Amino acid sequence: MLKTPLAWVTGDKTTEKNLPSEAREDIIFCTFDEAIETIRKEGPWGYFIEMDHPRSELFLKELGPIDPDSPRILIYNKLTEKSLKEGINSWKAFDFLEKNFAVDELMKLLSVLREKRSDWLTGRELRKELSVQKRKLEKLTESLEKIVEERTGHIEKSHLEESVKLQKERNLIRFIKDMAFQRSFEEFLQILRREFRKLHKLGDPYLFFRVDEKTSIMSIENGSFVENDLNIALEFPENVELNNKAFSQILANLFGRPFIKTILIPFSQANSILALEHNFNEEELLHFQELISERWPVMNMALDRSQSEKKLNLYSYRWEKTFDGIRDPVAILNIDREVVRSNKKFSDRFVSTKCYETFAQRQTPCENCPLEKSKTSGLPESSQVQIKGRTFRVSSFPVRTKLSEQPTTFVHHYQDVTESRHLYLRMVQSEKMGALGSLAGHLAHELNNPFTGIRSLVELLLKEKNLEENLRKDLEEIGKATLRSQKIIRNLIEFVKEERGEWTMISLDEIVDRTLPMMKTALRRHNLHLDLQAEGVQIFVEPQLLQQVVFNLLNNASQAMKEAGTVGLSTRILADQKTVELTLSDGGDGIPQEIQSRIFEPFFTTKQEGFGTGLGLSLSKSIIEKFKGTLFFESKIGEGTKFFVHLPIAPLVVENS
Amino acid sequence: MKILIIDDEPLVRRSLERVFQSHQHEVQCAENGIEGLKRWLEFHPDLIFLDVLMPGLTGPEVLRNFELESQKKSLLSKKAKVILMSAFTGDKQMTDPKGLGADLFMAKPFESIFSVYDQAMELMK
Repeated sequence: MLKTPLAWVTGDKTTEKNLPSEAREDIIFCTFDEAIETIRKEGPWGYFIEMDHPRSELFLKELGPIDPDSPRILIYNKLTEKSLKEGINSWKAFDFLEKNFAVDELMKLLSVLREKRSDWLTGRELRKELSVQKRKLEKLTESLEKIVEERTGHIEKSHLEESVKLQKERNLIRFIKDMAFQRSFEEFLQILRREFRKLHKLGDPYLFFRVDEKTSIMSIENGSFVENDLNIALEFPENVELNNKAFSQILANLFGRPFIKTILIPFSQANSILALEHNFNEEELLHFQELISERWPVMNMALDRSQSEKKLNLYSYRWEKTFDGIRDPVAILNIDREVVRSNKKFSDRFVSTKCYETFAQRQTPCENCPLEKSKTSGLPESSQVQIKGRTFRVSSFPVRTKLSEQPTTFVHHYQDVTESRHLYLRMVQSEKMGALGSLAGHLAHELNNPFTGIRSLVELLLKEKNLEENLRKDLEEIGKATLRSQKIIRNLIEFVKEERGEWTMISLDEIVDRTLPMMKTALRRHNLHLDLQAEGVQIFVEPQLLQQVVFNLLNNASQAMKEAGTVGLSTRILADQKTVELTLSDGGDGIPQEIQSRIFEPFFTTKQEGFGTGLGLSLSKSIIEKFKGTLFFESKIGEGTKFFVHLPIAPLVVENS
Repeated sequence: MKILIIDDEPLVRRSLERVFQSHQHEVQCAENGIEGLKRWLEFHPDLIFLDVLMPGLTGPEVLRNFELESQKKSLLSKKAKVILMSAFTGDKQMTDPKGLGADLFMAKPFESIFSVYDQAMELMK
């Protein structure tokens, strides 16, 4: 008996009886129902199927997928071509039998089957094993796929998260960078504006700023920075605050629209408040607060910096204003006399050149410049320097960064002492004049007495009867000479009189008349050509001072000519009818070009030591300028020099006597 | 009329002396203040020409001293008229002759010696 039988699937099991016992050993007969049961278990290894049974096809269909390779022997009532075809193609028949088969035929078939049985079984085992293995593999694959899928999901998720995080970090870094480079409140606000525009639902930033109890608000309006001062005392919150009424009110007043939802973010120990208008819901607001809190330290730092920079700017502005506000020229020079900084008085334009090029318009350092001295001594030094026809007291203050080193920077202060110098010289002069005045007083007294006597006696003698004609004429001459002498003395007294600042109306010709007699000696070698055309034209001056000028000019003219020559003195009214002119010409050698610009400088003299003070022209110029006039000259080498005095004609005054 | 001229300038003394003598007045001269004071006390002049600036005593000093002397000797005869003369023009203290005990002030140089005579006669009227 075979361990695993062949199954004979039949409808009535009657065939069983017809089989030889030999055959029955290997075959079990079962109904279709039983057969379906068996194939589900460890079924038979082959089947005999009676195809005339109505359920045979159904069975075969069942069997197909479960045991596809077991041999099937199909039993037809009659084997036809059609049944053979159908059996092979549809049902994978191993062999066929007719219902009324011969036993031999069956036995032969059985032996074939028996020979093949182990192959079948082994194949079947193998298949079974294979299918198990396959199923296992499938399961494994499936679980593997699951794992892979899971992993991939994880990776993808984390990848996304990473990139979001990275983007966030990048944004933050860029923001920090932007903030680090900002230089002003304006830039600060511009950066915030750019940063927040991405968020939507967020309005422009407003920055409330408080310094020294003064509150101002800064914003960007139409692309430009606006700062408004607030005259309201405003309490700045110390923590983030939502919808602060006071701030909303101010914003509404300032910008003419309601501000409903606001957020206030305090900075710099609550010295500045960033106010933002928003339209966030609660979740968005939380998100925004998170974003802000990440950026807060950077913004705070930036604001602190802006604040200190603003202060620095203010100090620098103040310093600059102070520097420029100094009335005197001030310049900071390096050791090569290059201007490092200077105030406006020193130079309007900022040009980095040497001080003497900019200020004195020279190609070489000024004579008497105190810088060298100050460099050597390391101490402040000062001296008087002639710059562009004016006298400056130049002080050089050395700046040393280290005590041991030589100074490398010098602060130069230029004080225009031309006026005070003139005043000083005038003082010296008037002191001299004062001494001369008292001398002249005594002289006048001493001379007046005899002159009075002479004149009186002459008058008396002229009354004598029978006076000889020659004697009479002599006496008359003596009388005239005495009168002239008295007049000179009177003029001298007038000239040196101590009364100062006595302005009066006088004609220029009168001044000339008064001065000429005193010049007789000085002019005696020369020929005086007098042409007075301004008789009675009044000027308003201090006569003694103007006399001094005429005296000086006449004196210079007579001294300009070594040989006897002509001194021309003329007065005339200029065409404008507002100016009277005095001209004094000499026939001297002329003034050399190189000293022409210097002749009005105090103490500048061409005369021999002891012959001139060098004060004459400088004083004369300042006197004429005091009378609102001008003093200038024309000079030609070899032909002579002409000095011109222009004085304004005084308007006619109606005397109320 | 007795006239005393006190001046250190001989030419002034001489011209004044000449003009008054020619009009038959009695004239005495002194060349300084001290001598002038002495003559004044002795001569009893009707009119005195007194120079301001002189060596010894100045004109105003002569006037003060005379005042003192005449009080001492209670010698108050007829009071002489005094004309002060000075070459210093515009000197402030000279503008008020009365304050100095003089009657008239005359600046030197004289306009003319005859006008001096006329002024003196006017004063003595």
